[in-house]
Amino acid sequence: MVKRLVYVGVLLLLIALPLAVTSKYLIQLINTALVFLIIVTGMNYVIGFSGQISLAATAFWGIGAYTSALLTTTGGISFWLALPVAATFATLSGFVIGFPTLKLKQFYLGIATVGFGEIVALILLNWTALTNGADGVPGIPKPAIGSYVFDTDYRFYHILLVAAVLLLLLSVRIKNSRFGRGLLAICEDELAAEVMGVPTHWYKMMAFALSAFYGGAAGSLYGHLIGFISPDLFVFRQSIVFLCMFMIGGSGYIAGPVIGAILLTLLPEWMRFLKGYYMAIYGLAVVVLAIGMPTGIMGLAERYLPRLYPWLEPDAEAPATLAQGRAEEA
Amino acid sequence: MKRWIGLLLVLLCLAGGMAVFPAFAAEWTPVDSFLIGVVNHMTGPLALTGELRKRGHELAAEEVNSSGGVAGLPIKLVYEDDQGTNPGAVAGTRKLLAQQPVVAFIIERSTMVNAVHPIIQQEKVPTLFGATAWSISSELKNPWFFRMRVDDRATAAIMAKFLVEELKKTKVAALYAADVFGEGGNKETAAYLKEKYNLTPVNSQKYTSGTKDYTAQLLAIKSSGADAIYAWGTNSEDNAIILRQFKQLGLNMDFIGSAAYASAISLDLAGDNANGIYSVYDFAFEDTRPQLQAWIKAYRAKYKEDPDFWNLYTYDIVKLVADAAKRAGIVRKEGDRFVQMPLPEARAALAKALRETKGFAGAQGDYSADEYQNMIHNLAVVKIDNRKAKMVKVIKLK
Amino acid sequence: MAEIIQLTVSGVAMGVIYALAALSIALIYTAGGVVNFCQGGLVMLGGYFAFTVLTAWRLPYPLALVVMMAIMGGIGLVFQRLVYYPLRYAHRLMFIIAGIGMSVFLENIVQIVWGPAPLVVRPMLTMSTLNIGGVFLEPQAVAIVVVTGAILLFEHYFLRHTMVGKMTQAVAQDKDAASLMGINVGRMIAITFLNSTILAGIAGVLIAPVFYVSVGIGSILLKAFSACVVGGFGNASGTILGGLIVGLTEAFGARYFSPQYRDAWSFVLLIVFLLFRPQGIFRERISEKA
Repeated sequence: MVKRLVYVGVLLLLIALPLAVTSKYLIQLINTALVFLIIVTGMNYVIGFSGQISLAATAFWGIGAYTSALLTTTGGISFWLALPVAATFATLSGFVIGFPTLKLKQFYLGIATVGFGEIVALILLNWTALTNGADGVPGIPKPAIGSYVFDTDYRFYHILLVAAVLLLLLSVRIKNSRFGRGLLAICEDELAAEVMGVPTHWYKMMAFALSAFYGGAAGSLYGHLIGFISPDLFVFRQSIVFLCMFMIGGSGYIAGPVIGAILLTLLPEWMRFLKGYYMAIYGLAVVVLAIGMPTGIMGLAERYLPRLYPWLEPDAEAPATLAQGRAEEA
Repeated sequence: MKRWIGLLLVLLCLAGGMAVFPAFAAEWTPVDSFLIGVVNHMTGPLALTGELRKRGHELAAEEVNSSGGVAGLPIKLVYEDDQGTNPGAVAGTRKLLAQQPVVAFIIERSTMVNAVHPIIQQEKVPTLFGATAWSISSELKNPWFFRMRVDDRATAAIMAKFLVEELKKTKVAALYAADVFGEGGNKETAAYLKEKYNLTPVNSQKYTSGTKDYTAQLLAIKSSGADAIYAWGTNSEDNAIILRQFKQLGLNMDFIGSAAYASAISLDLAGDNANGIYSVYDFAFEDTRPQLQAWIKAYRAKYKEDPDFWNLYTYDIVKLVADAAKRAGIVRKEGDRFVQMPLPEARAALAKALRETKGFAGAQGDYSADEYQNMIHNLAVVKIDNRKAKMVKVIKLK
Repeated sequence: MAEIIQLTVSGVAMGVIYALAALSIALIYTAGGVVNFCQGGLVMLGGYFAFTVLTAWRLPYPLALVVMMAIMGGIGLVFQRLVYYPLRYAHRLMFIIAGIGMSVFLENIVQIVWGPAPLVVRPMLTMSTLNIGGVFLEPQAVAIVVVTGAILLFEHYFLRHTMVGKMTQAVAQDKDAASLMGINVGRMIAITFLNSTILAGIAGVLIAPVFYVSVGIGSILLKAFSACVVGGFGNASGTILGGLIVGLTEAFGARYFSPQYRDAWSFVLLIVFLLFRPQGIFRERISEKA
């Protein structure tokens, strides 16, 4: 009960956040972090809960962004319709990639997702008739309700906040549902799960589709937030960034993506003073974190802050065993 | 819970620390330098050109300051990194404009210009850039944008004209990169060829930047019977590999490339493979224009290298801003200190002065704003001889 | 006809490079059970060291190659000790991330140390392009094929006919059994990393004159993966074949199908093979690890 009140309180504070933030720079960063938060939360279904290796997040992000952008610019459709359409289209592509990769294991799956991502990137760049090619899609309109237009970062923040909160809540519900537990079982031992009656193929595909849904929604939101998208956004490098956010936050935890996304959006900004060295340090930091902190920040929280942890991880049960896993025996 | 509150507190502190209330006083404010903001490629894959651009800015700032600055006030350049990406450019721009009361703003790259366009419209800062995509003028129509290099449409016209009228070639092939520059340039060149000469390229080859092998594209062009190639690409490694394979595969035809083909970096890499090709370049070393020669001399003295077009227009940008600021009367001396117009007024006045620029004698040429607020209207055609770009002709567009 | 031969030549030249990089990946995969996402960065590093050794220090090629191998081997050992060893029991994804992080680190460090401008490395043979009956052959391409062929022969000999090589194979097959047989698993894995990094370094030296040294060389990683999958991981001949197939498909695909989708071919091959024949053309001699 107290927990619920606290969460509501936090929510109210978050809604009021724009009052406290006076810098347009900071609010724009927060908005970007929220978009990334959605994408990385989506990755949780595939990598965190079910333990599959997927690096296709950027592809779904791109598909969602372009679908929404093209629908609203050349299609003249309203954002409120374009968003779900874009997310649905991305979900369908999630099924498309989920289906054939069902048989693939471990890093073969990972490479397949990378290949998929690269093909999508090439199509976005070269199918000029559809996507406007390298020029990108400018002039993506801002959403509006009646005469209230979300044309500043402060206003758009609330759209993003609502989306992020809803999608996070969804991930909490799913994690504690039969489906979610099935995914966790698949992560532990797919064969055993299958034997116990978990429909592994169907669930794995659903996980992919869900992560694609999140990515697509985030893509639509991003396009309308910035107003301009171009193919050079949706490159493999970006998948790496998302993966780092995911792992650093903590794989399999609900709050992991939140922490990871916020931290890794703000961190490069704080590191601007490092100038030329900042990317090198970033890379090195990733290596060090992967070696020293494989369970991510949430993993540390679970281990060293046992009293704080239940507040962060709602309905905390056994977390995903991804990072704690032993090496797979042959 | 504590975690959320803690995070919130951190964010609030961040906001407090980073938020700057711009000095929007209604009177003239005392300043100790005239601020120009630059979002530049300091890290990431474009860091090389970022460094070259910076040299242009700094050389100009030095010269301006040593000859009195803006009515006595020295110029100061403030840099933010764009990390070579569009989101980085957006973040860097937001940060710069939120924290520094800059009067003028400099950015680069057509996609970045597109990405920050809504921000500039909101913030109303005069923005100068070298990005050459024609769509910036035709689509965005941003009154705060000022282009400081010749746009791709005009460059394409020169390229096409040279091919047909000087080299007398009619069976042309296109070789261009799959990016804004390459695609835009190709489109404009093909359009000009069609409109003016009723010619269509006999073959068109597109490549993704970073490709290491162009055998397929070059063979296709070779077997199409073309007698000349026009090429659009900014990446110097791509260009160097193209030229090397162009020579190796025995393609015996004329080759005219966009500016990057004649830049110092590309020539270094391509070596003798570049000999004999043409390029539409921003300037020619043998052009006797006094301001150009002075700039070449100063650059060589300071950096012990030959300059490039990357250093040229960036040099002229800073000089032009200083000149426009003087004309707009943004800065005044009061006693022993300097005062500057309130920021919104200063920016509007600077923009107005830029729009009214007529015949400002920069190093590259005379700058005059046309109806699209494109400022410079001359180019050179050069031919590479013994690894150096030699002037063929200098062309004035208006 | 000359065109087809020309395309074949260029496809083979590229393919052989992919094969080298692919082999270095396959070695680590079979021995250590992990995929090194840093391999592209190592090839790039090889290119940069090649610049230092050949252009800055002006060493003659044979000596330069030896020095290169020593440097890259050292790096490989360090990498294995600092990155692979701590992660050897963790989830595979961790190693992938560490590899990616390392790759980002390397890409930026080289820009700081060697500067952002692309660098020129002189080719192995200072002849000009050969013209054989209308087909143009770049000397460096010939050098690449010859050197790679020699390396592959050496690898074959090393892995099959030397004690050390056979021990590394044993470790690749079954770590526990090998250790029970008295083989020092840790050392064998270290040797494998050494082997793999040296290969990557040599790949870097070979392609540096052709591609110019810059961070772009790292993009070879994904194509090398494709070559591995197409050819099959467990087998050196497999990766060569895989590399050749990728190289040739790219070349012909770009010429006759679509020049700008050139890069897509390796991914299409990758996905097709993953779907229908994930073991590759030559089935692994060692049972699948995944």
